[in-house]
Amino acid sequence: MSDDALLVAFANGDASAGRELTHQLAPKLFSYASRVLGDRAEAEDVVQDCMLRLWRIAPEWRAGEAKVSTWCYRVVVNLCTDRIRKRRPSVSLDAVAEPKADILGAVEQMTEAARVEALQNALSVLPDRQRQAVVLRHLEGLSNPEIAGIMDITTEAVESLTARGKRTLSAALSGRKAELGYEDE
Amino acid sequence: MSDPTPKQDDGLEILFQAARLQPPEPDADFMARLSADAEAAAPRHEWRVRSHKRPHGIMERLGGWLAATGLAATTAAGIWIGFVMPDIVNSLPIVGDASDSFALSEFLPAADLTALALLEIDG
Repeated sequence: MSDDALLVAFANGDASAGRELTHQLAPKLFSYASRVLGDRAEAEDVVQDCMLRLWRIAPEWRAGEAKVSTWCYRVVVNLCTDRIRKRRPSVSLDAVAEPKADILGAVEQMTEAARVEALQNALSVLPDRQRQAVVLRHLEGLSNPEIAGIMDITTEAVESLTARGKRTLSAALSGRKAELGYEDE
Repeated sequence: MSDPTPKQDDGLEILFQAARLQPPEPDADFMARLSADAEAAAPRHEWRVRSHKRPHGIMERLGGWLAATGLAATTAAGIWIGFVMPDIVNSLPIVGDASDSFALSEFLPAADLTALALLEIDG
């Protein structure tokens, strides 16, 4: 059953449809929130808040007008943005080093777990919007038009954010040579 | 800031792929909490089934105490009027002579009057 149909069934009093929808959506939303916030407990709070909002609007949901997953991602993106803004000022692009070294050689030497950790650490220094766009595009596997709908920007703006995000990531990883296990060539 | 070299892009793609294969997964307790939230938030539709049980006892058959009291009061008033003013009761056309069919026909609906007229023509 589609997300849309499950939400309509839930609004008609079918609690099991709500549980099924939870199992379809929550893991994806949690994955995104964890990567963007870098904190599991905060990610849980955000996802729980999002799901409660979804249940509240369920009776007014108009089937076919929007994707439930897009609506949820949008709520989670906004909730994550609010939390990041309260937490610390965003990192200026100027503060990130130029990518000088070739990170490929170093990355190839790393274990899978080390790669995941290195990427998570590098993501944490990205400006908020770049981090959101990179995670949605390259880790959650969403299309650029979908991301544009979620972030309320144009597709071109998504492309720009992800390109800049990747440059910043390369720079951040280059600046962590010791962590990646290599020295300047 | 310059664009990443192809090697840097490849390096990033390896990291992305590793991260995609190991997504942060919610633990079972958290999923159970979310399911409980969904259960609690599900709209309740209370379908109240009306009782169609048959009335028992004389009071229920009369429509309850209020209706029975009204009926008793009306009956008592009728009997009292019959005793005190018997002339008024006797002069009512509805209780007059059985041959006064014209008086009864005045209480019939229009359609029945037409049927009655046809019967009289046939007769």
